[in-house]
Amino acid sequence: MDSLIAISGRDFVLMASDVTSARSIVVMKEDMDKIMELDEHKLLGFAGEPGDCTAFTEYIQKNVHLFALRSGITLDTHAVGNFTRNELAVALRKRPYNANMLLAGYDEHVGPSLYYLDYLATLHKMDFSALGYASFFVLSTLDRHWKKKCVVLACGISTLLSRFPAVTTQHSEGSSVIVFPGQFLTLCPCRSSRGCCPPCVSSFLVPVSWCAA
Amino acid sequence: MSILEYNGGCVVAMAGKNCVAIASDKRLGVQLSTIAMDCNRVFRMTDSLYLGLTGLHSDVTTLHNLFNYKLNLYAMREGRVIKPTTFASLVSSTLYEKRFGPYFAEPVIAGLQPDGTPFLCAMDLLGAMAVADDFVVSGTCAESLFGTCETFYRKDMNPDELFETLGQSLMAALDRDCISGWGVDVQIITKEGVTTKSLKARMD
Repeated sequence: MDSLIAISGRDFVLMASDVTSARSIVVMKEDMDKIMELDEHKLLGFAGEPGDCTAFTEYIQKNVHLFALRSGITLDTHAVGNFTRNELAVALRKRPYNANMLLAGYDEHVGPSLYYLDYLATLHKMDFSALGYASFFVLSTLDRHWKKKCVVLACGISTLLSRFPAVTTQHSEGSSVIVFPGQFLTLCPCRSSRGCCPPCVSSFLVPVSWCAA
Repeated sequence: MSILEYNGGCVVAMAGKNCVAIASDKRLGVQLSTIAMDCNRVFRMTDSLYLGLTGLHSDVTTLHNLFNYKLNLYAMREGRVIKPTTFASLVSSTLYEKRFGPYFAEPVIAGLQPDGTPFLCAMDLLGAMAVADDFVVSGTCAESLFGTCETFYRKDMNPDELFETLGQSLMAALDRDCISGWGVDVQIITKEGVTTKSLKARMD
């Protein structure tokens, strides 16, 4: 089962996923990218039936891009969330997609936002969220440890890494992406196709005490 | 488990003397795991008309969007504000349109009629209307809510008494339901305006 975690702070949203593609007891591959870049400031992470996830998220990505090309307007995260929800809701009563998603984005006048969207087309704005088996552990952990004052990006990363050792260990193979006001920062997707690759995630590890302020 | 109980949640509305109040819990869950504690399921339709929706949250959102759209068209076509009775009929027929593939949501309508008297109405997911002059309930703890409301309700309460009675009725019922809770929002509708109050219930 996929694991997807996302945390929002004052000026960033951070999203991390595992990279395993498994079917039953067989691991098909260990470099699967489960976080899609919708545009320069939006990420769509997904978990669920792999075929449905790919088909649906690519459909959303291309339509968001098409809208931008046609109108010259870039949709904000809220708009993309509602568009995606509507597509999923219409499909639900015809040929449902089994795709759960987390939509993260940064908008000029809104700031960072994070939306939870499940395969039944339940859309909800979140401060933090998780999908898959990870959510059973992560939601309760973040309930306790997530703070609005977790304002610094490094704090977010340290929260993520220090609270979830599983993520850290997976991370040697995993990908983790951050939405910044101006750019994407890809953390150590050593085998990812993404271009920018800062040294290593370990260099971003900061003491938990940074969060205590 | 019924799909109506998949996300959890409840709504209750109560009438007083020339005032009406509608309240809901704030939990959004996926079966027994809680996803969010700030979920709103009572929506403003006009200044003195509120719609509460319980059931599958996906359909709650769909219906909220649909009724906003229909009311905007109504306002443009008719050039006036919709009456609660008319809106109830609109909701009922919208739900019955989907008789054989229904929206899995049960609405509660609370508002003041043009003459200032309260209007309360609840429906099932097919749009069968149940108009009441005391209180209406809906959601996963509807049975408990009937009990608490019947116990606490008095005729002709003023807005403050109504808020207290409705709040206590809902909170007492919530505590016996593990897929509702995480706080309560109460809207008190009077001719002068609407007051919104948030209550902390048992936050577990």
